[in-house]
Amino acid sequence: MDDLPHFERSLFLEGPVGVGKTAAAARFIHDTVINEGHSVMVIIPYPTLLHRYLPAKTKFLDVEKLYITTFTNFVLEMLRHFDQMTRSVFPDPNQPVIYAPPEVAYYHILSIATPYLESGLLDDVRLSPRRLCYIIENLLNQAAAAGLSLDAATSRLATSWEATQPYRPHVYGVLAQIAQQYRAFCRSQSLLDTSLALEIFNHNILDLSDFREHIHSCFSLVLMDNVEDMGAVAHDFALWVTETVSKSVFIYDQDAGYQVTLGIDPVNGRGLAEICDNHVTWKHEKKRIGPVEVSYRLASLIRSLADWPPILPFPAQNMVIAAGSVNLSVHPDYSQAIKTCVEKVISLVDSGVPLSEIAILSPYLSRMTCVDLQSSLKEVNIPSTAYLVADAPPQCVKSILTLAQLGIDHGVSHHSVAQALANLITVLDPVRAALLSQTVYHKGILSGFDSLTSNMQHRITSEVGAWYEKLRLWLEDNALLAQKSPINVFVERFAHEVLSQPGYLLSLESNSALTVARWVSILEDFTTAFVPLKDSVKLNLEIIKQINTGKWSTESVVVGDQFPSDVIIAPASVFMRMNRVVDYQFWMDIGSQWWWREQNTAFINPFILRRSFTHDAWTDTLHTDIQRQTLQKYSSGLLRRCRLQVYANFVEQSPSDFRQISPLVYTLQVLSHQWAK
Amino acid sequence: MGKVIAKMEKESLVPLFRPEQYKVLSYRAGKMAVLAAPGSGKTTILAHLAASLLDKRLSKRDIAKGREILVVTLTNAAVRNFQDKFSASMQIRGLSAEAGYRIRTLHGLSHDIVRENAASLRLADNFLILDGQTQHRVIRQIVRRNLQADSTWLEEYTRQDYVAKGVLPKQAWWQYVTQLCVRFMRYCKDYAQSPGDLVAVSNYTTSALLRFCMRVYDEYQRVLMYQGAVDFDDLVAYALTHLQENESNLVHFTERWPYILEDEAQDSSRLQEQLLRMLSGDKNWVRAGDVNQAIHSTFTTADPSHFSAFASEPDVVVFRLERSGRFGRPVGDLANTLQKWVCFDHPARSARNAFDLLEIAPLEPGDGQQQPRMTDIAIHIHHMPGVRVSGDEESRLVLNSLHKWLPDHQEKTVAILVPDNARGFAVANLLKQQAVPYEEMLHSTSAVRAVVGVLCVVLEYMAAPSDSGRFQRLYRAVWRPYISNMADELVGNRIEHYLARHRFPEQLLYPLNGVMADDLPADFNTFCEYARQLLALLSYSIDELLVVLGRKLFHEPFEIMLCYRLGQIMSSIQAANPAWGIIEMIEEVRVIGNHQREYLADDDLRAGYMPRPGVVTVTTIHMAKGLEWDRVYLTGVNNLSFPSFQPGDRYLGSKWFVRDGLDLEAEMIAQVSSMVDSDEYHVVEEGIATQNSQVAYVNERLRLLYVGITRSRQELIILWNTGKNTVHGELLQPALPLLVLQSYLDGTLVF
Repeated sequence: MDDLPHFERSLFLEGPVGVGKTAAAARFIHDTVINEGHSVMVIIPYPTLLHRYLPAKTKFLDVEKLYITTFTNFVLEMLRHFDQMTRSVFPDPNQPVIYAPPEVAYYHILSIATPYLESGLLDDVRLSPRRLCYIIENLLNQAAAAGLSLDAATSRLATSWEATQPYRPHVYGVLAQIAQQYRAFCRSQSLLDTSLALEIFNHNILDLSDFREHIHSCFSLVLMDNVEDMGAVAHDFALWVTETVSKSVFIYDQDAGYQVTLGIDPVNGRGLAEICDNHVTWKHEKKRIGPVEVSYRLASLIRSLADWPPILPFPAQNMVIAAGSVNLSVHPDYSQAIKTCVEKVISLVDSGVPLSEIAILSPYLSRMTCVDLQSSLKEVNIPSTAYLVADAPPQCVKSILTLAQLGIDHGVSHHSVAQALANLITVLDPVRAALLSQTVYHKGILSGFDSLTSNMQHRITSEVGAWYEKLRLWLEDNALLAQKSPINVFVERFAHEVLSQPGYLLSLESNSALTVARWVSILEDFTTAFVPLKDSVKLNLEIIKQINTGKWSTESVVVGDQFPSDVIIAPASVFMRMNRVVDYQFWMDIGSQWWWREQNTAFINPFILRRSFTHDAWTDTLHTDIQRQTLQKYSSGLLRRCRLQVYANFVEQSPSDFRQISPLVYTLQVLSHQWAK
Repeated sequence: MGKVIAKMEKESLVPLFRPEQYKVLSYRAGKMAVLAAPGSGKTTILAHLAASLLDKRLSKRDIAKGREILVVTLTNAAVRNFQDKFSASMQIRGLSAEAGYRIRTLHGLSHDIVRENAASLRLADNFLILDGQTQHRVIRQIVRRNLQADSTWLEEYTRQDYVAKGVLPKQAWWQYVTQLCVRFMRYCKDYAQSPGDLVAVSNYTTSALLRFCMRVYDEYQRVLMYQGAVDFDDLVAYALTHLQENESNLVHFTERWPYILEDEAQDSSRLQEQLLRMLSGDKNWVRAGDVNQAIHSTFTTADPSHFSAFASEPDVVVFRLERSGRFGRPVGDLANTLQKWVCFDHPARSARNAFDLLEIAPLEPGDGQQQPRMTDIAIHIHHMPGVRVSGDEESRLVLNSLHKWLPDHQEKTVAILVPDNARGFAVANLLKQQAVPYEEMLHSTSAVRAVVGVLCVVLEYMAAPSDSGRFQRLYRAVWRPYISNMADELVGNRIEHYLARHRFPEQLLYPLNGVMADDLPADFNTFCEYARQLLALLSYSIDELLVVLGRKLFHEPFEIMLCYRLGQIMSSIQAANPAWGIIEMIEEVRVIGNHQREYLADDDLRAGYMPRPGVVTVTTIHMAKGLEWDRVYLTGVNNLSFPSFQPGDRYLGSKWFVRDGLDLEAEMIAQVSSMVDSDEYHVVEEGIATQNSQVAYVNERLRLLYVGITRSRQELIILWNTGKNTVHGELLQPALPLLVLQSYLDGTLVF
């Protein structure tokens, strides 16, 4: 394995996935810190890359010398560090700046955007409120990442489409209004979300001499990995770094660029090569084997297709492609595809393949598919970890919030109360929990165990009764807590004073205790950032309802805990961001359009908002190129992260009951014919 | 070279086809209409034509450029059927059916166009398609909310005696108004009328019903807009809009599909015709159908007049396929008699347009296809004047007949055709009770109902695990029949008895000392362990639960797939109703299961359906179209199912609580038509549309009877029933056509 080449001030290292760039960088940092005693900052685009650098960090005694962060976190950190400057940007500099987690930002956007939808101003398009919020969020993020003002961004979008889709300029005008209104709201409340943070960093911090001095004094080396997955503002910072610190390294992955809707700009990132003293390109060995070789041939085939999309409706059939590197199986429906996948995983595990060498992947994975896969694997004792954004809180948190809600309103069902009690009282089984909730719970009030008939007390048992009473009395004594205090205070005290005691969930399950502790901090963030609702009853109720009804996809909460020894189930882009290579991959539903179309890009086109976009209009040719790139990115990107074999499945009918057309199946079949020759 | 191929084709294919079929196959370009009698091989010929065009008219270069022969047909089942025939034809030619063609339903085709161009159609890239159930539920909610606010206007349409008594049959009205609104919207969408287009009308129309429907339509469209969703009707309209908006869009698709073939063209709607006309550039378009089998116009926007008008266009070449080898001559003659009687002698002149006379001709001697032997043919009309026969008694008559016939005819196929699904369920139950082998093709099959039934028992148990009755039912209805392998009937009965006596499930499942007090068989402990496993799934959401239960409870791929689909539907319902509890969710699962075809959009079960020898098929006449059996029982041929303007005849459109026997749907649509067809709004005289709708209904039912008769290859038994109860003091009567056909068989009627 190669080491980084020697360089004096700045190095730009590029290459395809899997040539060892990050591994070499980690070794280089290790040597730099240990042998040369330098302080190093590593900036990565997403937290999943952290594990590649962490082993190096844990070896150092002087942990201060190695600072690893995502670019967004670094920006927030700097804003906190230069707090006075940050406050000065807001109308009231005396007011502390509050960070708004994505869910809270989303809540505020929703409340601003809904009247626009209801007034009919957006009747030109069909958008759900949820989708509209995503769009506004994407607009803000992408404009900030490119260093564009909102007006400049929406005007660029409008201009690109006005010739072909005349309705768009009006829509972008309305979107700009909503975004501006939200931004004004944030400023008036000293509320800071990710996009505003980037904006302030770009306009107010980057030019500060204090900031330059700070970075210069703290770090002698800055390394930015996966710069292709960062926006233009991050690249501006990279340029600034070359002028500020003694040494800088930029690593560029030629195949990557995953966080499309966050405003990344791979072309702009590639431009850093021009300003570095040293520019090195690594390649795969000429003699490539297995899936890696397939990835090259497939990429070349996708590029060379005369027409796009290749829509020929092949009667797809099971086939082995490319000397066994890819197995394609065809299924009439999803449940069959999942069953076959699970059976194959079992046979691999039985033949001794380590669980961590198996990944089940797709650009889009529904929660239902994940649950089906996980429960089927669990039946045969194969543990798996799904790396999905959670859209419901963990059961232990949900149970606590359910009981908190009792103190606020009467809208909780018997079923929910029973589930909460069964979950929190360790000796309480689901049947007695149902009995208990039916008998003691009425319109928001839990009555005492001794109010039950002796027969019922006997059925539920006195032991359960005792635990229940203790919990109930605490809730009764602290009824005002759920109303008057922030919800995080209630959860924290309830967890500490009751649930951590013997007989309750948290005393037995340390994982749940950790989860609750993490949630206390998340709820604190939510509560702090929920600025307009000063009435704590309403505020707490709103938070509980938002969380328990799944209205928030709690992005801040979990993107899959790291259980490296389990089978991985993940969306393709998440897996690729993990920077892991496995022996076996399962590609689910390769007929799905998301293998060749980027999600959530219809209205806020991230390619137009890139700084590197130089066209006057969005054309069919550009559109086609992006689709090819997307297909290539997923198929080649995954193949290059696979050592031995890919099992791809194709489901003939989509969930909407339409026959699927798959460019990926098409290219695999053509490849198969070519290979046979 | 081309001539050589044509000659080879002719030589190799002539033995397979009759001359008139070969004429169709000789098509090379232009517009063509193929009018085909039942059993004349229309779909097979069209599939061969598609194969021939692909073979001869599309070069490899064309195919590489993505050009395709486009085939559009009515249902997913028909798509599969066409695909099979097309593949077979390609095989005859020594070719593989890999590329260069696309077979779609209208909605599938529209979906392709819309999905490819979502953003230019102002849709998010993952726009939602509202399934039938959600659509219906949304409309139901809007109607309910509006009626709760004001339902006084309904009095205007209610029978005067009810109004006088101050009794408004609210429940019935609410259901009917929902149905009217659904129909109104379909109609408006078929005529590309948005709520905005109707605003002016709503200001001056005097019809409270019309105003109400417009309001609901407006609100419904807002909901769609709000959810970023489209419904199935929108899909077609959107596709059309895309083609109309920009010349280059249209050119893109007309180049992609240089030939368009359309099967079942008699069921084409206005939008469908418009879309295909645009896509074909009014050039290479072949439409095949039989207006005499147009049986979908009453409840859909399908209209056979479109196809008839097409066939009359001056530049359309028309071919008639009249010869049919499906059935023996007497069956064909009976069907022809019905046609001729209707066309020339039906007492109501308006009914005489029901058919476009296309007599079914027998095969020529020496034809490659074998027509059933005359000795195998039998036609019987079971008509016993004056005898009261309820629907159940009619079913028992059929059953008795089957008991005698089936054992000696295990090699033959047989069907019971019923007028509606409810009767079909009853017949299926009867066959089940009598252990007669049968298969259903109804709105919901017993297999689906069984799966949903099991799921509901499990979900109900999980919703209230302390309920001993539900615990017992879990054992009796799920564990014993589906999970347990225990063969010993007595042991099972003993456990059931024990569960019935034991009222405290918690003591059985979670005994305090950890051991069971009674000495019970091992099966009981396994069952308890299973119940505990189910309760461990309580934290799952409903969609996840359905998927996991699918794997846990069932083994057949169909059953597991069904659970998966239910999960998908419930996932969107859950997202739309986050506050719903498990009770509401269970109820929704049950509704979906009972209306499987409508809600699961699932005619896959019917796809490729082949009647099996020795197994009775139970289906409606509507669903039987395109299929054939050796013996057919055509049931319920009375004056309710097949009215003919005779005294006492009943019409489906009239509701018992509506004044003056008005068909409000027809009245309302007549008013919308008047708005759409002219720039000014004209008040339509009340009652005329009701009369017209009765004519349309009578005509369609006559065609339905024709379809029913022509399903039989050899034996046909026609029955009728008087109904269980009297309607306005009268029992149902045999349908007039039944009596006419009886006279024909008796020899007293001659054509």
